Amino acid sequence: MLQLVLGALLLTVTLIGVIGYVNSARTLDDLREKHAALVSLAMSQEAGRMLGTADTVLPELKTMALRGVIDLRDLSKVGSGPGGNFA
Amino acid sequence: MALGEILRSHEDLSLLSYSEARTGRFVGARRSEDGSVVINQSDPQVDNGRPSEYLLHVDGSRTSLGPLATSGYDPRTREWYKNAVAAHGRVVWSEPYEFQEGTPGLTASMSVEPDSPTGVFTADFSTQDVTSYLSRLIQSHNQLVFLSTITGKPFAISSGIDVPSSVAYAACEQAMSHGSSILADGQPKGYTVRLEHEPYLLTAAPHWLPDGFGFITGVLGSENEFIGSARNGLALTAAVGFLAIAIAAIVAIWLSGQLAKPLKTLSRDLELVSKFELSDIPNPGSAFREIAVMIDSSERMKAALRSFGKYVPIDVVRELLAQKQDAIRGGKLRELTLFFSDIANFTKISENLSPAEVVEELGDYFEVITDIFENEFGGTLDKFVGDGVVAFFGAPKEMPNHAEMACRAALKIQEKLFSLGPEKRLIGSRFFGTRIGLHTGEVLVGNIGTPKRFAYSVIGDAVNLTSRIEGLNKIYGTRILASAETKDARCVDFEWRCIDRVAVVGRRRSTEIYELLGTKGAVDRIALEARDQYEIALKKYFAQDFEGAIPLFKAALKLRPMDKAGEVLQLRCQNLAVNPRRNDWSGVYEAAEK
Repeated sequence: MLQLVLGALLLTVTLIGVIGYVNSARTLDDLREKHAALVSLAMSQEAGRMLGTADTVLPELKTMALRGVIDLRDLSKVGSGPGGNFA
Repeated sequence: MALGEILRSHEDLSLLSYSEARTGRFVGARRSEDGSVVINQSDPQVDNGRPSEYLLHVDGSRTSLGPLATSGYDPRTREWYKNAVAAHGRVVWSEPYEFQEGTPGLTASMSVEPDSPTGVFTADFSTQDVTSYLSRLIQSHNQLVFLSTITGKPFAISSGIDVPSSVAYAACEQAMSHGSSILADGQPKGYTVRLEHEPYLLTAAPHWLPDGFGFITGVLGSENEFIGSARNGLALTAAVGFLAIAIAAIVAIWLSGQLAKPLKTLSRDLELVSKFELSDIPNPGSAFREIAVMIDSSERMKAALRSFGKYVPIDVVRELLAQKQDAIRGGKLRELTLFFSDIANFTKISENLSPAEVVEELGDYFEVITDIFENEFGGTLDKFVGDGVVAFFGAPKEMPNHAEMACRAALKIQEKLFSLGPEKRLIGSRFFGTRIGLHTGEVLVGNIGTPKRFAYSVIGDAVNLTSRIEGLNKIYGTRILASAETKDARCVDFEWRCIDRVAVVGRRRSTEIYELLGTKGAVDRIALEARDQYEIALKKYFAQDFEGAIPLFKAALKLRPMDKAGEVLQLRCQNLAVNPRRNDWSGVYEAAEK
C-alpha cells in the first residue's frame, strides 16, 4: 500500500515535470513568435511610412498641376521651378 | 513649387518625375549619391531623346552635368506609365525592378487627367534605403529579414545567414507556398525552414497601404540560436528533474522497504498472536521511532501473553480464538481420560531441601511431564496440586483415542524420568518414584469458577476415582495404574496386568484396576510370565480358593521378586485362609486410605 502511494506520488511529480517541460517549450515558441511578430510589425511600419509617402506626394502633385501651381505646359520649370540660372 | 523642392522635403523618395502624354517629354528630380538634387530632362523629339542633367543647388542655381550617354528614352513605353494611364488617376505600383542608375526599387505612379491623360507623375523609392533599415533590425548573424510584394517578389532583403540571400529567400518562399496561406486572415504566420540541415523559423505577415499596395514582411531566424540556449536550459532542467525523480524513486523504494518490512513482520507476528501462537524470535527493530515503539509494545505484549500462557491451557485459549468467542462460564459432559500423578515420598524428600530447591526441582520435574503429555500427546494440563499433576486427554480438542494417548503419555513419562542423564540422576532419582493413575469416564469439562475468574477444568466422580487409583499405587507398589474403563477403551496395543478389584474410599462401586506394563513387544518375557501367574492366582483368589492361590502368587513372586502386589495378595490369601471372612465377601478390596 505504502509503495503504491509512493508510486502514485512519483507519477504525479513526473507528470507535473513533463507538463512543466511541455508548457515551457510552448511558452518559448510563443515568445519567439511574438518577438518575430513585433519585428515584423516594426518592419511593416517603417516600410509603410516610407512607401506611404507616395500616397501623399503624388495626389499633391496632381492637385498642384490641376490648380496651376505646377505649370505642366513649361516642363523646364517643372523640375527646378522658375528663375534659376546655370552656373 | 517644383519637383526638386518637393524631393528635398521628402527624404524617403529617390526620384519624382513627370512624363507628358502628348510629346513623351520627361522631367525628373532625383537624389544623387551625395544627397544633392539632380534634374533630368529628355525629349524624344530633341537629340534623339538623349537625357541631359543639371545639378540643382539649394539656392536655385544650376550646374549643367551635360547629356547622358543613353538615348531614345520615351517614358510612354514604360510599364509604370501604361499602368498609371490604365488606373485613371489612382496610385499604382510597379513590380520591383532595377532603376536606370542600376539600383533596385519600386515606382508609384499616377496619371493627371482632367479630361484625358495629360501626363503621369511618378515617385521612385530606392529599396536600398529600406534594406539599410532592415539591416539595423537584424539582431544576430543567423537572421534574415525581407520585404516582398504580395506576389512574392522581394524588394528588400537583409541577411546575416551564411547561405546566399537568394537561396534563403527561395526556401522561405517555398515554405510559404506549401504552408498555410499567408493571406488567409492577415495575421502573422509561422513556418519551419531548413537551410543546410539546420532548422530555421520564419514568421511572415502581410500588410497593405491605404492605396491598396500590399507587401509581405518576413523574419527568418535560426531556431537553435534564437531559443537554443533556452531549450538547452530547459533540457538540462528536465534532465536534472528526471535524475531527481529517479533518485527520489530509489530513496522512496528504500524508505518504503524500511517502513514496510518491519510492519509486515509485525503484522504477521500479530496475526500469529491472534491465534495465541507466540514466536520466541524477536522482531527486528526499526529506525523509525513510531514503528520501533510498536515493535517494542508487541514484544512486551508477547512476553505478557507468554506469561499468561503459563497460567492457562493454551489449547483452550487457541480454540476460543479460532471460534472468535469470549471465554464464558460453563461446561459439557464428555468422556475423557484423566491423568493423575504424584511423587512417592515427596514429603520426606522435600524435608531435606530448601524451599528454593523444592521449587527448582519441582519445576524441572513438571517440565518433563507437561512437555510430554502436552506437546507429544495433546493432553491438557488442568492444575498442579503440590507435587501432583492433574491432566486430561480428549478436551478441548476432540481426541477419539484419548485413552490410548494417555497410556502412551504415562509410559513415556516413566521412561523419560528413568532415562535422565547422570547430571540429573540425583534429582531424577527422586522422580523415579512417580505414580500415575488413569481412568476413562464421563466428566463435566469446561470453564468452571466465578463469572469473573474461572479455570478450564474437569469435575465429576471420575476425577475422584482417578485420584484414588493413583493413590492405590502405594498399596501395590506399582507406577501406572488404570481402571478397567481405560484398559477397555481401545487400548489393545498394551500389556496389562489385572491387579485387584477395589472399592476406593467414598465409593461403593468396585472397579478392577490394571497395571500398565508397557506397549506390546516392549515388555520382557519374564515379566509377562509373572503377569500370567499373577492373574491365574488372582482368579483363584476371586473364586475364594485362597490356598490354591498362595503357591501361584509365590510362583509369580519368584519370577518378579520385588513385586509388592504379589506380596500383598499372597498375604491377603494367607489371612483369609486362616481367618473367617464375611458372608458377602466378593473379592473387592475396600481401600481404607486415599
